[in-house]
Amino acid sequence: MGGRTRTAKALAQRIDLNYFKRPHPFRRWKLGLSIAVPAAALLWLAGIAAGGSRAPYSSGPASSAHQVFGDKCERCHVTQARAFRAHVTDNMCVSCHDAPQHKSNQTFTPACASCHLEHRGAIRLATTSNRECEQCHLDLKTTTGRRTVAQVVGSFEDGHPEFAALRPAADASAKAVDRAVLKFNHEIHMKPGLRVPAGTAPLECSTCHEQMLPAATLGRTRAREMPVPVTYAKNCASCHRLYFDPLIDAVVPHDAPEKVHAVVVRMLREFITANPGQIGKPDPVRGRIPVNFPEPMQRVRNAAEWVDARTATVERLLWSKTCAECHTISAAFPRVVSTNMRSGWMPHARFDHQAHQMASCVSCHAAQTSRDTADVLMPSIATCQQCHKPTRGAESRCFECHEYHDWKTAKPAKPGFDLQQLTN
Amino acid sequence: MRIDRTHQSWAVASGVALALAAAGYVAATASSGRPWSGGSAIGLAYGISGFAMMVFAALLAGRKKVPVWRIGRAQTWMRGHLWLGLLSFPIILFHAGFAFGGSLTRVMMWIFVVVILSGIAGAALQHFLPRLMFARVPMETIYEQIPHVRAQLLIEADGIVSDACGGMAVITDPAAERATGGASKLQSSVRVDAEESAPLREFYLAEMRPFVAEPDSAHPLADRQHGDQVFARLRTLLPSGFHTAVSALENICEEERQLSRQQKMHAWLHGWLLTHIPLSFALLVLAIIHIVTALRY
Repeated sequence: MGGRTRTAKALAQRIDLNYFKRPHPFRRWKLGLSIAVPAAALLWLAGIAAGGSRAPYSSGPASSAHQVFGDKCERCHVTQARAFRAHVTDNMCVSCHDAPQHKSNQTFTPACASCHLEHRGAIRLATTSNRECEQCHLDLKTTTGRRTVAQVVGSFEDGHPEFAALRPAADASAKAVDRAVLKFNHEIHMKPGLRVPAGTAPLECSTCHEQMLPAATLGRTRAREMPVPVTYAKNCASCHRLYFDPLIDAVVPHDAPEKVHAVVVRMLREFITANPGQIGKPDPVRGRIPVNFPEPMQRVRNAAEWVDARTATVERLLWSKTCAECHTISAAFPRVVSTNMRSGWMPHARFDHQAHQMASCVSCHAAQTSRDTADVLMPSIATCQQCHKPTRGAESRCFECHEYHDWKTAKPAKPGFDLQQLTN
Repeated sequence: MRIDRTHQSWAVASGVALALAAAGYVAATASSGRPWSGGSAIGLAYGISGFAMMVFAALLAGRKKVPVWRIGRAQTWMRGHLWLGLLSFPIILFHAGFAFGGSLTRVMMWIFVVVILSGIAGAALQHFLPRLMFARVPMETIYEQIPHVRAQLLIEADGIVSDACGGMAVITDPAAERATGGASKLQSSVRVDAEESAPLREFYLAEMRPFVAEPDSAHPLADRQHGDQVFARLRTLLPSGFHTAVSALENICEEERQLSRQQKMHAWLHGWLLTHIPLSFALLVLAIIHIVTALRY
């Protein structure tokens, strides 16, 4: 009874030599799927295209401002005549938006889309990269040769010069100075126990420096930037009353010398008319006058002379003592030299005090130790860099403080769409 | 393909290329300070490089279709497919700035992920399984020949039993065939030494022939231990003159089991290609569409 003969010849004879010509399930599946799967992908795109949408080809979700367009790519991507490309041109941007020029003497104007990157999701389009600014400001050149900012400005953390207000002038000492012509001692005013009309309540920064100006008063870009300017009437008058004569319980206005003079004369006339017995009496004011007072005492014989003499005396005290407490009085007596107070310290940048209200004022402004008006109390760039650097999370790119477009020259935009076009 | 020392130069070159690409990406993103764009000059460079690698990897299919073309050794193509295909994934990630973008690119990236993962799984299977198959399937045959070989095994087994037990005839009565469930289409027509060979004939018709005719993993003979016991019992029941036939039948059962094992291992060895290849082609088609639309918009 025979067993198995498993020789090479026997095995070879078992092979069907035409096996590769016949279809095999695995190969059939492989071929079928290799056709079906790409075809399904194409069908998917064709189905979406049949619905008039080109959304699949978007490189990402549009910014929140442009999401109103939905998947109507052609709102911005317009094909030029006989051209294949449908890139967004600047013309399409300015059909809805105004984009004022940066500077009239700039040598190069970048395309809108080179700074404002779309299809990156719900980010602010204004969050441009430093690179766009640095392409000019790393070595600034202008068509006129004139510059209003430093020639080399790099990133905030590495390459940004010290703030202009803190840079010493070339012809001055090494220290930057505030050139305001006003005598003010921050240290005294911030001392604890300072007497004020209501007692000894300490003065806070906010007692004089009120919160921000309403946006409407500062324009589009400078909203909330600056504290309300300090004025005598609002911030100084409650303590520094402008009394001029102990006989009269009234103050002169904080105004031009000629107006002050008119008020003084009027009040003295009214006083002497009501109190004619005062003529010829010793002048108590003279007792306060220093011994080197240049004018000798004269006898007055009537009300007019009394007013003249009294005016000269009280005004001399007023200009040289009361007014000179804060102001500089020029030699062309009596003229108050302009205070030359600065309305802003960063003409090319913006700062939002409200966004920084979690930090105490004196942690940035060294007011508690400032005795001299010439002290510049602006914080240095190093102070800002403590928080505004990539490793600390606070934004440090150029757009945080600077704006490219000069919105002072903005013009009303011409609407490019009606509501129906936007919503359908 | 085994991933052995012959891949060393490809692995090193791919590693160096990846390191250079990563360094370039890090330097470019650090200096730009803006969201990465695949449409930027350097982003496009990554995209073109990655797509070129994908195309080269896909050309392996063409190279296999025309093996006689003298365009490099098959092994070189396979190594290039493996390493450049793998390298293309991080390069495309650099191109995209690790963002999956809109719906088309998102679909492409997920397909790419599946293609790469299936490719890695396939490379691992093709590294380990051939050795395992060599050890566990010594009677391996050409995969496509398995049905043909099985048919021959059935004829061979029928012949052995006929030789041992007498002539076997085909039951022509369909009713009889239905009654036996198709398992005993053959019956002994001439009974020689009927009493002695009865256990062999009954075992063959009732158990072994259905197993050889229609292999089923649930069949008792699919278990080798069970088969050993069955054939050992047969030897005790049958005179020694039948033992040669019993051994031959036992060997046929073993070959049958090995063919089943080969089928399973083959499914593992090549099944991943049913995912890898179709998705790769779909990815290439979508990539071409992506290139065209990106140039347009």
